[in-house]
Formats: sequence, C-alpha cells, structure tokens
Amino acid sequence: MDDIILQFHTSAVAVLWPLLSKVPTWITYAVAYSVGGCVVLGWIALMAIVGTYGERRIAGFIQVRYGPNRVGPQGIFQPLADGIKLLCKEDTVPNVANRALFFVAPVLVLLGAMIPFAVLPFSERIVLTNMELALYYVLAFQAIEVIGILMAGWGPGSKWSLYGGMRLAAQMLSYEIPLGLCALVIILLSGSLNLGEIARWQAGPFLGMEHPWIFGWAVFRSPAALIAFFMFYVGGLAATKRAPFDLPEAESELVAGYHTEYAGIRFAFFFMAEYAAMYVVCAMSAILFLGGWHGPIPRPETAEGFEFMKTWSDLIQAGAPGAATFVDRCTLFVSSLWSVVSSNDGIRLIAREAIGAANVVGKSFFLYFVMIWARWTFPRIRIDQVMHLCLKVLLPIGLGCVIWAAVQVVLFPH
Amino acid sequence: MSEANVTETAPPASRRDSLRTEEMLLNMGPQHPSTHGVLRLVVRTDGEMVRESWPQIGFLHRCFEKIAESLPYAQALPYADRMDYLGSVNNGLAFCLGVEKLGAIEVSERAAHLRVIAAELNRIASHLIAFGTYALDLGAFTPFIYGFREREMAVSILEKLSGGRLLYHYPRIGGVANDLTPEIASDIRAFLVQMRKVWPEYNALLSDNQIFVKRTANVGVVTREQAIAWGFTGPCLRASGVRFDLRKDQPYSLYERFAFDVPIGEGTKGTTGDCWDRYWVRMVEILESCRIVEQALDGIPEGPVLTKVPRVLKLPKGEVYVPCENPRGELGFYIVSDGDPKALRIKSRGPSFCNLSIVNEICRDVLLADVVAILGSIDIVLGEVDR
Amino acid sequence: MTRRPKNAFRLYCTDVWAGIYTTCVGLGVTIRYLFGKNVTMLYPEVRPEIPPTHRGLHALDESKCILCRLCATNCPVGCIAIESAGKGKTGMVTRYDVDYSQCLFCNLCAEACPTKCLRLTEAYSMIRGRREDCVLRLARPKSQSEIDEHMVKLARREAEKKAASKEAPETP
Ligand code: SF4
Ligand code: SF4
Repeated sequence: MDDIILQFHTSAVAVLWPLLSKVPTWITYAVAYSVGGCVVLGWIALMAIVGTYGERRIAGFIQVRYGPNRVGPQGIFQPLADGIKLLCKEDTVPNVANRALFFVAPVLVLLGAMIPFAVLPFSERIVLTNMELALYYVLAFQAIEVIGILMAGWGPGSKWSLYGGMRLAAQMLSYEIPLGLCALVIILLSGSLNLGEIARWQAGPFLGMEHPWIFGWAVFRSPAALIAFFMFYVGGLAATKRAPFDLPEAESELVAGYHTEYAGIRFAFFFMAEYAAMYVVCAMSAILFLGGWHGPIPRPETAEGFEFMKTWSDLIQAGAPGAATFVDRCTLFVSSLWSVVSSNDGIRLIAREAIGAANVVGKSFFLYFVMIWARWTFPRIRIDQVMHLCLKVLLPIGLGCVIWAAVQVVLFPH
Repeated sequence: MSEANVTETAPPASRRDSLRTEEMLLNMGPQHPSTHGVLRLVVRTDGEMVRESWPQIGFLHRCFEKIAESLPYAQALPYADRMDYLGSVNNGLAFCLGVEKLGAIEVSERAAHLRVIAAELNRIASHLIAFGTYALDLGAFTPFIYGFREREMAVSILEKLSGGRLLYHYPRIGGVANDLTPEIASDIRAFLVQMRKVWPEYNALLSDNQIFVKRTANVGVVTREQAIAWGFTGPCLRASGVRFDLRKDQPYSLYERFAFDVPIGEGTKGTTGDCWDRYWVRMVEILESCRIVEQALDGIPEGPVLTKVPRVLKLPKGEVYVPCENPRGELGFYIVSDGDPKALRIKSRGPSFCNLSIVNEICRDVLLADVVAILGSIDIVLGEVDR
Repeated sequence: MTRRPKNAFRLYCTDVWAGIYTTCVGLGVTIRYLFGKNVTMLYPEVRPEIPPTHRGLHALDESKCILCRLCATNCPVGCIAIESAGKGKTGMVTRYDVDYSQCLFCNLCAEACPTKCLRLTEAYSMIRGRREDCVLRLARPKSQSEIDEHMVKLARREAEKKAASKEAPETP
C-alpha cells in the first residue's frame, strides 16, 4: 500500500489540492494508516456480523430448521439485535475475580485477533503493511490471543474458566508446531516469508506454462503443499478453537470454558475475536495455498487468458451452435469491457485490485463455510486426542512434507 | 464419603516433592449442561484427571411414592408416568401390570397389543433422545436435531393415540385409553419406514465417526461382573455382555409372541461394556423395537380395549411386584395392599437410580471429558432417579 | 507402560485413514441436508395440526352439567373447584375453576363425567405471567342478581312441587 499512498500523495493530491502537496509525507502516511486501521476494524466487525449470521443460518439449514429469520428480511439484522442486546447487558464481575486480569483479558484477546490484519493482504496492493516477515509475524502474534485467554481463564476465579484456559495452553503447544511446519513447506517452495511474494510466486511459471492459472496454486505445485494445506487448515481449526477442537469452551463439559464469567460487551469481544481469528486462518490458507488473489482462470489481459477465452468460445461453438452467438457476444463484451477498463491506468488498477480482493475474500469465505459445516457435523475431540492428533499424526506428516518440499526445491528449481 | 473428607485429601506423594499441585473439588451440576437434568456430581480432580466423583441426587424429588400411597390406584397412575418422563408409557405399563396382577384384572388381547405398540414406540422415542443427547454431550449438535426429527414422528403418533405429547397416560388399569384407528396404523407404518431409512444415516454421522469412536470406545468399561454386582439393567447391562431382557426372559403383555433379538455389547470398537457398546445396544434396539411394532401391528386382534373396572378399585390384601423392561432397564412397582382403595405402600425400583450408582466406580482416573461421556452413556433420567 | 503391539504401525495407519474417511462421510451427510427441506414450521404463522384426541385446556358445557362433582373427586391433584346455586340437574354452575398450575392433563375428570359435558380440548397455548392467572374460569360469570333470580326460581319451583305433592293426596 505504501506505493499507492505515495502515488496518491504526489499525483492525485497535487492535482486536486495543490496546497496539500506541501504537507509532509508522514502526515499523509499517518492519515492513510489511520483510515486503513479503521477499515480493518470495520472489516473485523463485519466478519463478526457475517460470521454469526452465516453460522446460525447454515447451522439451521444443516439441522433442517430455519435459524434466525425474524429480524429484518431473512433475519439479516439478527447480529445487530444481538449486538445491541450484548451492549445493554449488565457487566458483571465476580467477587473473587482478579480484576486487572479480568478486564485486560478480553481486550488482549481481541487485540491478538486484530494484529494479523496489519499484514494480511486482500489483494496485490490492498495491504496495510507489506512486511518481509509477514508470515512469521502472523504465526508469532497468534500467541497474544493465547495469553489473553490464559488471563481470562485465571482472572474470574472460576474453576470452569481455569479449565478452559489450561486446555487452551495445552492445545496451543500441540497445534503451533504442525502449523509452523505447514507454513515452512510454503516458505521452502516459494523462498519467501512475504505474503505478497508468496501469492505472486503462485502465478509464476510452472511446468513450462508461463501463466499456469489454477495449476500455479501452491496446492498443485507440490503434493507436499497439498497435504500441508489440509494440515494447515486442521491446525487452523485448532488455533481458532472451532469444533471439533473447541475444548477450551466445550459447553457440555466446561459450561462455557474461559468465557463462563464474562457477560455483555466483554463477552462480545471474545466473540468478535473468534470470528476475526477464523477469517485470518481462512485468508492465510487462501493466500498461502490457494493462489491468493489469483483466480482459477487467467486474466484476460495475459496472452494465456486470451487463448483461454478463445478456446473456450471455440469449444462451446463446436458443441452447441445455438449458444455460440450468445457466448460469443459475452466473450466479446468482456474483452471489450476489459479494453475500455485497461485503457486508463487508474481504472485498470482499481479493477485489478477489486478482482484480486474478490478472489481472496471468496476463497476465504469458502473455507469459512467449511469451518461452519464441520462444526455442525462432528463431536468434540478429547484433550489427549488433540495432542495425539497434532503431535503424533500431523507432526510426522508435516516433517515428511517439509523434507519433500526441500528435496523438490533442490531437484527441480524453477 | 462426605465432602469434608474430600478437601483434606492430600495429593499423591510422588507429586508432592517435585512440584506443588493441588487437587480441586469441582461441582458439576445441578446446573450443568450435560448432567441430564439436575444431578450434582462432586468431582475431585487432579488437573484434567478425575480422581473421584460422587453423584448427589434429590434435586427433583417429588414424593412419588408418598403421593401414590395417598391416592386411589387409577389416580396414582398419571404420577407413575411422570417418574421417567421419557419412557412414560413403559412406566404406566409397569404400574398397571402390578395393579392388574394383584387385582386379577383381565386385559383383552387387543389392549395388550396396543400396549406393546405404544411401549415400543415410546422406547424408540426415548432411545432417540438418548442418541441425540449423547451426541450433544460429546459436542455434536446436529445428530440431536436429527434424532428429534424422527422422535417428533413417534411422539405425534403417540399423541394421536393417547392425547399427550410427553406424558401419555395411555395404559390404564384394565387396558388402554384409546383405540387404534386405521389412520394411526398407517402413520406408524410410515414412521417405521422412515426410521429404518435414516438409521444408517445416524451411523454414518455419529456411530462410525472416528472422533466419536475415539471418545467412547474403551471409556467407562463396565465388566460383566461389575454390571451384575451393581444391579445394572437394561441396555447398560446388555452392553456388558449379559443377554438379559425382561421382555424375553420374563415376558409380560404378550411379548412372548413377538420375534425379536436382544442385542448385547460385543466390544466391536473397543472393550465389551464400554460407552460405545452401551450406545450401540440402544441403536440396535431401535431397529428391534421397529420389528416388534410391525409384528404387533400385523397381528392385532379385534376386541375391546378397556376392561371395565369398578370405579372404586379395591385390591385384595397382598403384595405384588411385576418388573417391566423400561427403555433404561428394569422398572417395577412393589405394591402392598391391605384391601383399601389406596395402596398401603408403593415402592418403585427404577433403572436409572440403580444404574447411576456405579458412577463413582467407573468415573475414577478418567479425564473430565470422559465423565460426561460416561454419564451420557448410562442414559439416566433424573425424574426417575429422584422420584 | 503397555507393550507396543506388533502391528502398531498398521493400526496407526488404519486409524488415520478411518479418521479421514469417516470425516468425509459425516460431512456428506450434513451437506445433503443443507440443501434439503426444513422440517420445522414458522410457528406463530403456521400452526401445527392438533389431533382431536389431544388433551389440552378444558371446555365445559354448562347447560349439561349436573353438578355431580365427579370430575372434582376424580382429579388426582384436586385442582377443580366448583360452586353452584342449587343442586343436581336444576342447579346453576356459578363457578367452575381449573387451576392449571396444578393440572396434570390426565383426562381423568373428563372420563369420569357422566354427561360428557367436560372435555379436554385441542387448545394448548396458555401463557400467563402470574401464578394466580393460571386459574381458568370455565363457567360463564354470573352477576349476583342472576344468581338470586335463579335461587328464587328454584325456591318457587320447590314450593310448587311441595304444594303439588301436598295437594295430590287430598284430591281423590
Ligand atoms: S386433567 Fe386431570 S389433573 Fe387436570 S383437572 Fe382433570 S383430572 Fe384434574
Ligand atoms: S363430572 Fe361433569 S356433570 Fe359432574 S360436575 Fe363435573 S362437569 Fe359437571
């Protein structure tokens, strides 16, 4: 995003308000980052809203019932109603609580969930900070949330909360390692820790194709990455405390786990943190393994894209002559639209970024859906089984993947 | 053991010198999501390990026995329904059988068939709840709703038959309340078809699921000897490998006429008598109950459904105990009459109460999550434990 | 420590495989229902069909009631309270209260009624905020004057009857 800001500062601003160009760049940066931060906050809130609504609605349909459908058309305002309800609730603090820990915990948890958004790209340019160590940063700062939850476990002085906190600590020790190994596979293959670089690498040449479109995605580049993708996703389920790994809040065992004693807005913080963390894991999986902002079909402006479009229309023409004119017209329309769009650099940039963002968000939402789907299907795993799964199943397979990836990189460098 | 003793128990010596750990006394219930009502479990834990657990009961005590002694038999019957509210027909049936045996009251064959149909439908409904709530205990929500979807069909049939949706008050002294209509009969057949259709789906979703198997197999193993020693009955006893079913071994209400198998636990996924076996026996019993209902429906004779009994029913002096196979095990009412219209003493022997007594024996040195799994697999109904 | 079984690795592999396989099977079951038809109904707009056998709130046909009080005596909890002006067939039901905070919906009252004027209907929803409101008054409320009138009528009829029976033996 830096270059956009700079561009904005030097060109657009200078044209529109010449006075503004006198402003030192750091102020522009500060303003731009503040705006970006607010957008991210809004995005997290939106995630919580979409998450709760989607979760309850999908759960409803899976369970052959309706789910929330009263507030607004099809119940889309239900999360708002819930939010208002949570805001109006009494803020209770247990007598025996360690007040400092009790109050800090929800903030820390939400903070931990928000930090990865600083480096999480939505598209090639739409990223707050293009950090070289982005992947490392995301994995490292996930631990902040864990500290927050440990505090939430200890703070209220409730035994159930304590269990929730301790379970999370045990769980974290087990899922962090395979999660890191899966990321290592991608780091080895792509040779970068920068999320943007990794995504760009997935559009790079592969198997003699210059623009390999869907086959350029990491999962298709190496079997190790394919396995790592599934493992990363499972590890991510554990990291976000989603079923079947929802032991820290297992409601049939621990009442509500670490947030047993929290009510009102503090509870909402935990809630938002969970959905934000879910999005982070999904987006990370999409960026690391599923091509990031690169769509499954090539962009029309590339040579491959043109070829693709042509073959496609040829094929359809051969198969169904009746549809040909329509399809032809569509193809023509799209390419002419593209030529119009790409004639202007600014519009072209916006269009590219919009398509890229749609790709990332679309893929993330699909993974998000799978998380919800899984939650409403499976029973909960026991704590020793989580450790068994992570340390005895995922870890060896993960090590295998890393070795495979290393060998692949050495034997078949691009 | 009292609670005072518990708190004073020192941690094991091996741990004491290396790292100071504390054992914790945990109150599971009476307001806990998975104690199936208002059971209180006092659990002594060492981290996640449960060292001991004492069930504390009585939160739902409604003086059934005393009330039943102060009312005429016909009026005590609806209270018997309310003991085990998930197996209401079976409870009423046990009470009626006792009264009928002591009073030598004849029951027509049609009424007996209807009783079997209603009791088996109720058993299916009860096992579906057991299936659903067990899934819920282990953290799976969806099977619970699917179980309720089929249960709803069974409950609607029973509603058409008896008028109630949970507490049917269907078996009466001398027969049953209402007669079967062709419409209800076709409903029942449709239900049986649906039940058999979704049964494999339940297994795909839950019974065979690796997570579920890992959570239940080899957990809470009750050996054959233990099961007998602790007075287990019903599916829990059969899961431990004892082929004992009152419907087969001591038939009542014409059960001897129907062909059905008594499933026993075989340790398919782990050890015989583990939680998975207890769960599985119930699942198979659903199918067996379907078979019984089908046969009863095919062979139902014409005739009256309610024998006339005197308005003020006086039983001869004496005492009687007729055990009956409730969805949870042996249920019987021990009735002592001194010739009055009211019983001198009524004592109920309920399966949940007896099955629950083993909790401290098997919830020892298991994980906290296993306590929930074990408790769910025993399938208690607190209404009957507390009376 | 338990001894490591010989085929430990095979067990491990089958375990992992079973985990993956049953996971997919389970997901397959739920996804089919995701696009299936719902079985629940939108309750207040769509109401379930209640069979006529359903034992819900009571309904009393006052005109047929003979004030025998069999319903009240047969009730296990004694939640029926009856008051009347006069007795028997000619009596007027001035109060017929059922306390639903106690009622078991057991149907014993309706079954005991000799004239079948008491019935448990299909009505099932009864939401009250207070305990006192759980008592339903089934008899039509009557004003004091109406009751007095009835008593006078009864008395007059009684007197007529008496007069008739007194006169009767003297006529021949
Ligand atoms: S239904 Fe039963 S409890 Fe209710 S009033 Fe009638 S007899 Fe009494
Ligand atoms: S039993 Fe029937 S007739 Fe007798 S008092 Fe009750 S409602 Fe009236």
